Amino acid sequence: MAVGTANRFQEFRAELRRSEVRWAYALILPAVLPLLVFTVLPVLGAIGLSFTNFDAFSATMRWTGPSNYGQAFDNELFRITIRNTLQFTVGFVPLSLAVGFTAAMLLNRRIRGISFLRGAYYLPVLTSTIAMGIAWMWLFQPQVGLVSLVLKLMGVQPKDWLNSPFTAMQAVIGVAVWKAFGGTMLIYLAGLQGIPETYYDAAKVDGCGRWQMLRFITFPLLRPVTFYLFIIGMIDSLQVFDLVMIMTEGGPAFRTTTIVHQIYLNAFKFNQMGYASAMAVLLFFAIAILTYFNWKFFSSSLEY
Amino acid sequence: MERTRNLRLPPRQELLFQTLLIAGIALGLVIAALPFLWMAVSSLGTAGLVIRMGFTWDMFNPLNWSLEPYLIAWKMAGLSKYIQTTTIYAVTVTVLATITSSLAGYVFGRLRFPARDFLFGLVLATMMIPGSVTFLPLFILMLRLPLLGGNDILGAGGHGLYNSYAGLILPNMVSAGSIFLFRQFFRTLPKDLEDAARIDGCSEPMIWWRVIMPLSGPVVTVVALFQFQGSWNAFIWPLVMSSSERLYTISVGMYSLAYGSGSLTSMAELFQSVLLAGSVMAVLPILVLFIAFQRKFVQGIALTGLK
Repeated sequence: MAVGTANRFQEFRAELRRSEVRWAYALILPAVLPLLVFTVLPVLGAIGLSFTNFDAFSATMRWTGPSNYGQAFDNELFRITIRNTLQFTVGFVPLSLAVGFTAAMLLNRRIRGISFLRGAYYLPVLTSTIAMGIAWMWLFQPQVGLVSLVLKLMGVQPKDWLNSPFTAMQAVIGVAVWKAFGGTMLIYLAGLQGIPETYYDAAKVDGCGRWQMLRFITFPLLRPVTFYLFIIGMIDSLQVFDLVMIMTEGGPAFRTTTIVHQIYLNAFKFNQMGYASAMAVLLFFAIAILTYFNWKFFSSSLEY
Repeated sequence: MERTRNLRLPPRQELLFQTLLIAGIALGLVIAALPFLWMAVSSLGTAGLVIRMGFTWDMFNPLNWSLEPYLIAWKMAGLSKYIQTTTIYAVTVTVLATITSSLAGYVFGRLRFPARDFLFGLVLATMMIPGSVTFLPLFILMLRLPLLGGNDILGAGGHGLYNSYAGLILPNMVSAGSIFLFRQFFRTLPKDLEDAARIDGCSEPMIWWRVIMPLSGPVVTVVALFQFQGSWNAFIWPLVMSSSERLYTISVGMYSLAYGSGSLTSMAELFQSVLLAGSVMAVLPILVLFIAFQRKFVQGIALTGLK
């Protein structure tokens, strides 16, 4: 009798276990299958297409070997694109970190209305890039835009900011920083709140001033956060698209065209799908390398 | 966080510091908010006034405001249609992605089965592949899906799911980041609850729906909010996936308006206001959501470390 019960119990457990495994596969299917089909497969597809001269509309294709990659490196426009993207990165990443950090320092205190203030700083992050790009185009309007009006007060001669090769990129970077610093700020705020108060107390006992505390406690302890934001900022910079499309369409004279903008143009305007795929593959590897650095750094040094 | 108050400088320097601090906070507020205000005021028909007369304070006088640009944007410029399309797209994506991701998060977080870690690693790996890499091959895939949209078995002849809601929505029906978020959260729940349900004969989907989801309100809200916000603002995928205005989302519609594919450019003075009115309408739903759920948004950032 006792043995029978034990057996039945064993059986019940085994059946439960089998059912758990069956259900597990069934329930992840609607998530894992789309990820495979709509994310993994396209990456493999891009790699394949990058060795062809595929034409999506007539669906013809010929194997061309690595010539698309050769074309990229010989191409003047590709060099301009890379230079633009690097310029954007060099401008955007430090600025968004610096502005975000400053905002976090300003708002890292308990005062009335602090969550309203944090919310207001953060709001640009959530809004549509296309809509705010249109708003900023109006702000950059040469004669009567707010930017020109303010700069005129400071004695700067207004110009056609978005159509001048000397200012278009700066304008795009400025708007990108405006749109992103709220996010950087929130992550820095989380970092600041993770620094134990006792460190600052000890520093005060030792007679440290505000600057010294910033220099010797805050900066070093936020280094992992800064590193993370630095890498994420670079990954985002490599992919600027919406803002460039709406504000400048890559112009004037390709002065603000970026990698993703070139992928889009070559694929959908010039019908050069193979060449566009080669650029997408290069972008993929650049992002993969950056992601690897991030992962490597955080799996080795998470603790303070 | 009362660091500044504990640290006493001599009174005059302290006063200076506090003044600078307040000035800094105010400057930040102006920088963040001014573009919105300038956009809103200009959208009320005053952009034409400014173009004609240069900057005048008259643009802030409500007597000079009119809703005409909004009416034109809504009726003539097709905003009503764009917003309808965007709503269908964003709501469907949000519902689908929240369900599929939470199911997968439940399975990865709570169940044991062969190849679990491998499959979860695969999900994590897809997190690093952005849409800007996949949109082109994905477009070709959708265009050439066999047996759909007039395509034959080899995917030739028709246009697959190109220019259809299915093509717009399907690639976004799951989010690897959300799976990760759900898994992390579900792992913190006590195991006893679901074991009790299991002994009582509950199947796994029932446990997910009856036991796990009711305990997960906050994380469901965060995921749904970010899904909605992301798909409301989406640009590149709707741009390449739609060939006609019928399927334009708000971002694509606003882009095509700005670059003059409509009849509106002839309206010169009013055009700028109409364009800005459209932008206000594109931003407004997100603004309302943000005000209603501000805490959730901020929590979400802290939770994920994502921007």
